[in-house]
Amino acid sequence: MTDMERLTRRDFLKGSAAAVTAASVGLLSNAVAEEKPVRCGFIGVGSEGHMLLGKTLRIPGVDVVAICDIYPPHLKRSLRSVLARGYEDYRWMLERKDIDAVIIATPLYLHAPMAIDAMQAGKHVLCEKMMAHSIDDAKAMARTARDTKKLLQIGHQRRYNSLYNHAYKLIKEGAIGKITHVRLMWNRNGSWRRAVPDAKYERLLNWRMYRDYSQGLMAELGSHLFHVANWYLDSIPVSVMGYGSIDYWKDGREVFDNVNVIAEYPGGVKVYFQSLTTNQYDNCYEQFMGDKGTLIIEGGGAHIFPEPKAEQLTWSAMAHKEKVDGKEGIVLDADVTPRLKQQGGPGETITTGVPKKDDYSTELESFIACVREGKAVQCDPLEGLRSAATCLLANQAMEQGKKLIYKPEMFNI
Amino acid sequence: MGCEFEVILWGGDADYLLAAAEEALDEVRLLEEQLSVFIPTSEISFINAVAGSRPVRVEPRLFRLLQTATRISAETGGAFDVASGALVDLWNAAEHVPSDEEISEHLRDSNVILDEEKSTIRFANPSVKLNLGAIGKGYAVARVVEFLRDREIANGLVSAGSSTVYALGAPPDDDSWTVGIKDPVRRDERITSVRLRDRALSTSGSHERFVEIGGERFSHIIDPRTGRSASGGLLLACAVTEDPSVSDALSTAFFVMGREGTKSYCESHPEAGAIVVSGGESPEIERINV
Repeated sequence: MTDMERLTRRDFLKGSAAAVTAASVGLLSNAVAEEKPVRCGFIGVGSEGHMLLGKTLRIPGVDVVAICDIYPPHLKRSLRSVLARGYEDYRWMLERKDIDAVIIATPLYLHAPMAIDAMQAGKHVLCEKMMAHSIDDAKAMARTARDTKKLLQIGHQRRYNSLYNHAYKLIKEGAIGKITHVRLMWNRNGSWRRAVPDAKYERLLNWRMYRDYSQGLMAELGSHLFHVANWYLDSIPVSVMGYGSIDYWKDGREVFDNVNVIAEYPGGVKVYFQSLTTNQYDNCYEQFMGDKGTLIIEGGGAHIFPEPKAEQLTWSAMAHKEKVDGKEGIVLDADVTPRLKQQGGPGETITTGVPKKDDYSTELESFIACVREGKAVQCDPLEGLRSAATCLLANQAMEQGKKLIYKPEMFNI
Repeated sequence: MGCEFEVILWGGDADYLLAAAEEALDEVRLLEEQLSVFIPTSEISFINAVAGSRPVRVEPRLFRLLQTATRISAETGGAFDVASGALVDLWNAAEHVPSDEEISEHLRDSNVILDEEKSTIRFANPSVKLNLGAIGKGYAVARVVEFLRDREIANGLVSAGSSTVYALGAPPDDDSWTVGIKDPVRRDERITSVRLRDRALSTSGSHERFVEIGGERFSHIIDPRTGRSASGGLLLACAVTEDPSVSDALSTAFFVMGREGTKSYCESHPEAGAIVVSGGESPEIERINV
């Protein structure tokens, strides 16, 4: 085992840093956070992990003390951001007693062994989505969290997005009526390939292309959107069918370069999902279609398009509206709309001065707060398992070319 | 970044270079999400919203960029100031030429307090706004170059719009890249060129971007010392340094400081080079340390 063990200046600064912290005066929340910092380690700092690292380093009261990656350029890049110790083998990192939590952003097939090892080593875990490479792996992770009493949060960041939460509440209040159909779309135009300097790194860097390591587009993109579908519909699917194939990128990849899935939910609700790698026109959106209206969340914004026959929503007369593709939509704003609803009449100037953060940041802040305060996480193992199971059976349905039935035990820990 | 990024690479496997360039441009997109004042969820937008009332912890590399920015601000006597975002907003939104009173509200000293130990930023007063428009593109170029070097790519050109270019290594059969500079008056002509190897060139001028108020055009570059449109008497200012972030910031400062100020700066900073262009229909070009 080779441990790069980059001893850092942090060790030498520890004493003085503590003294400065004790003397600092700030907001109570910051002061408390700094007195009891949450010490984190990162496993996997490729594109996703490095992005999460940057956002974690903005959170008051977090010390990132260890970073692990087996690909030297990734490790080197992240160690430029923070004075932490670098590791090539995550097991060495987990032996440290001073780490409270680890954030895992590694290839899918490694989520389960790494998360399980981390929890058994006494660390709380935030694991990137999709939860695991198989349903059995996801269940093993969930059981380990239960048995070790460690937090396990799965990285479906939409769960922490104020707009998604606001839209969920509106759906529950009946803003679009009874939902009968859902369209989920995530299309791109690109090979999905990473630069490989040496053939020996092909499977390490392009792990998304190979079935032993990846579950393809369903896992990397579909799991986010099916997580939202399961959440908004408050249910899990009954059956699934679809087409997936390798039609365009004939470059040795083993996972589908396009997937087209229909999942049936209780009450006959149909959820369509499409993910292409050859055309990005439709890009990414979630569209929930009810008998009173359609809710579309796309590109950081959301609109409701009422059905012509539907009664006007009481608060909609005062809401901001705009034309989208020739149709007038009510603009959803997580800050403004609830105030409009409370206001119930004109006359007040509506302002939105609340500073916003992206949903990765709110996801990470929530995880850190749960670690510090011992609270349950929002996107817990059960939510992660349900999204993973939904996508994994969809992959099997496409591979087998037939409709498959979800068994209830697939979704239970 | 509000501009077109271009990466030209040579040497080695073409598929590898193409994939590396695409990944490098993904980095630029992430940096834009962090640095843009036009994205409400960006880190800079959050700092602008909050740092007037309390310290805000900053991502370490952005913190170091802000340290670089404040150093350049001090070295240039305030001709470059990353904390002049409120002035930029004032001019961009103005329907009339801003009055002395309006401008004076945003002219303050020691606007930004950086705490290195805690990696936090705080504004001395709530009206301060950061705007990385004159350093962010250079920073993004620097990060792209770093990304490429980590992948052992040694030769190429990385550019952000027409404002900053980094010459990585050299082109085939030559020992350095030749980078042309457009004539600020006759835009389809080249006024001069610079030979670069592992160095960055940035340009600032008001020939392409300007603010129009009441039919009158003003340079989009604001002099943070006066709060008014820069009037250093130059058509174009170029800076050449090793670090693209620094060259980006310095080109703005040089444009604001004018010929004499630029010469004075370069005398005390021999690591920095400059090309300044002044005059009218027949521009005069002066090279300093280049």
